[in-house]
Amino acid sequence: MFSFTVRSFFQKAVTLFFISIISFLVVYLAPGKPSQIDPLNPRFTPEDLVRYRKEFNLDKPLHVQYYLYYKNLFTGQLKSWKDNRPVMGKIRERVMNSLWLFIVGTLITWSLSFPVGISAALRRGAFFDRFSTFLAYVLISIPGFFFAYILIQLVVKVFNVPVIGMYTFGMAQADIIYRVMDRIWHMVLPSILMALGGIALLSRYVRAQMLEIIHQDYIRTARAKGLSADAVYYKHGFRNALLPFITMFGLILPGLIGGSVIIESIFAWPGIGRMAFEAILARDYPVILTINFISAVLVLAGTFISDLLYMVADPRIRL
Amino acid sequence: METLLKISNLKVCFDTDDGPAMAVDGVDLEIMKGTTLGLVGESGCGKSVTCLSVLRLIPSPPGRITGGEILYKGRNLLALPEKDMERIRGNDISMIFQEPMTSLNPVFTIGEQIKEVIMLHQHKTSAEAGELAVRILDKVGIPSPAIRLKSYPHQMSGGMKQRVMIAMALSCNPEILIADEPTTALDVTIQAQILELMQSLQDEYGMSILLVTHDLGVVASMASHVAIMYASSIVEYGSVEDIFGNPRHPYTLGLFTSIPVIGKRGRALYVIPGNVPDPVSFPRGCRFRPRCLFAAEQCMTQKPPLREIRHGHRAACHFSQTIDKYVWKEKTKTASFLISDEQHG
Repeated sequence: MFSFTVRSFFQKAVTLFFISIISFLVVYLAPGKPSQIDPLNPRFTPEDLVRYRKEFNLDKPLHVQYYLYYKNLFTGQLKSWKDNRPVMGKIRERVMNSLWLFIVGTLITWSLSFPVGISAALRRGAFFDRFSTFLAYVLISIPGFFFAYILIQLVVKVFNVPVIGMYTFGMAQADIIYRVMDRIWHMVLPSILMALGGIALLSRYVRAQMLEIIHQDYIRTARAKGLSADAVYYKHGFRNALLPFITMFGLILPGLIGGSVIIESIFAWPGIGRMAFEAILARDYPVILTINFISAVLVLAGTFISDLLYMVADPRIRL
Repeated sequence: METLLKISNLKVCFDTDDGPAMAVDGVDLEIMKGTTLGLVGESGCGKSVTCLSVLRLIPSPPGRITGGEILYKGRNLLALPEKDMERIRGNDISMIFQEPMTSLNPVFTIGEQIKEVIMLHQHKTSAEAGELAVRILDKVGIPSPAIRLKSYPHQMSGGMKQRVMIAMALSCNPEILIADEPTTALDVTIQAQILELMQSLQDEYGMSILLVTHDLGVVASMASHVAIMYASSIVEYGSVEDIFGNPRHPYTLGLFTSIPVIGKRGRALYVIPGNVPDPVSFPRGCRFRPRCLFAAEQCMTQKPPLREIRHGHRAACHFSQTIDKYVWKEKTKTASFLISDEQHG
């Protein structure tokens, strides 16, 4: 097990190195150059352009740029081209904002999908199963932004609750309880919206998986032992049904960055997804590349964690 | 002898896309205390469904028990509340299955799986159950049982897994062990070991065994009574001596004739003509009629009931009083089938 862990870790490090090269090249292959920003600006002279290119190392060969970029990234000296602030600092601030949404959304998704999926599987063909199936397809079919619009209308008009942004402007002087409540109210809609699509999809997977498991021979054996139906399904069935979701669980980590772009844009949530989007529009290469690099790290960390979890959960994979 | 389990007129129906399939249609069986009943029949004739019905483990839907009763110690199992049934499963009546490879849960150690049933029915602590599990694993011939307790199913061979299944089934000293083709998935040498093990455990614990198989040799060596099943019903029931020495149903006779005999190489083997009927649309009258050499007018319209020929020997054929192995031999000769001279004489 130890050698597997070490080997797996090493493989992931090598993969990360190649990802860093490819993502660096992809950004530079994209049409347009950062130094071409705003050619109509009268204050942007050709001398400025040369100066900028020199300042941001854009006049150097690509491999030198690559080296300088990652050197700066790891020494923490990388700065955004847009506002000259350290990239890591900017990202940390935004990640903390997204993290709340991500954690709450993921918790809602995973804690609801399993009961819904399992109940549907155990009552196959009954009302609950049909109803949850219908609801899941509705939620999968409706585009997130449209659903967001409906929910915003509903919440703002019916409950008179502000929903845009992370908090209500001008609340800084208010009592701590009001501020906390304000934050929670702002978080409710985006996290529910993030969770709904996930619940719809995940509960379908859980249902399918559970349906397959309850027809296995060892479930019949467990019943023949005299265990009650619940003990059989939730002890013998659930543990086996869980295995495929370990892979998915590893893959939710990168969702911290990629999964929230639309929701964050709709709710003007100052999160990392929105920042990535804005950085792309502004051709802010250091920010784009760093976010790219961090997502790659998250993907690899996710698969690494799911490998480890598999070893814990499935004795057949233990090495 | 005391009757421990009495199945009467059991009917099990499966709802299929083609209509209801009578997987078990009016089965009558008795299991005596401390004896082995062999239940023999072709694949799909309803043997496994009969076994699963005893423990009420028929997957439902699509399966339904539509009639009959199963009396165990005077109680009708089919009428018991689910809670009481759970107390009987694994405790009074246990079951082992055809596929040892998939019958154990892959994510729990065999120790956990054996201890589970002991703790459930005998209300022991985990440590006490562990000791019992070691003892029972030792009994079923698992080497170094204390270490094996921590093994997972995938670390064991098929024969070992079936031993574990037997250990699990016997850990609460059941009155009845239902063995649904326990050796079908195992290779021949392991088959013999498992059967021997079951025999010796029966001698030791005195439990009754309902042994399902399609191997007549196994039945001859293990069982005291035999029930021959065809197309969801019992066609012949009796002691091993009755069935093997004096078979009275054309299907039973056909089965025995189709056993290859050493020394008869080169001669065509007898085959019962035709195919097993589809349980969705059984033929009217006697279900064996389309394949029977003795079929008469009467067989078209009336389904023959399981009738007593001699004490304890029953057959479901209109002509079982007149048909025996001598008549059969005459008939199969004239029908130009081959039959060995010394077989089952």
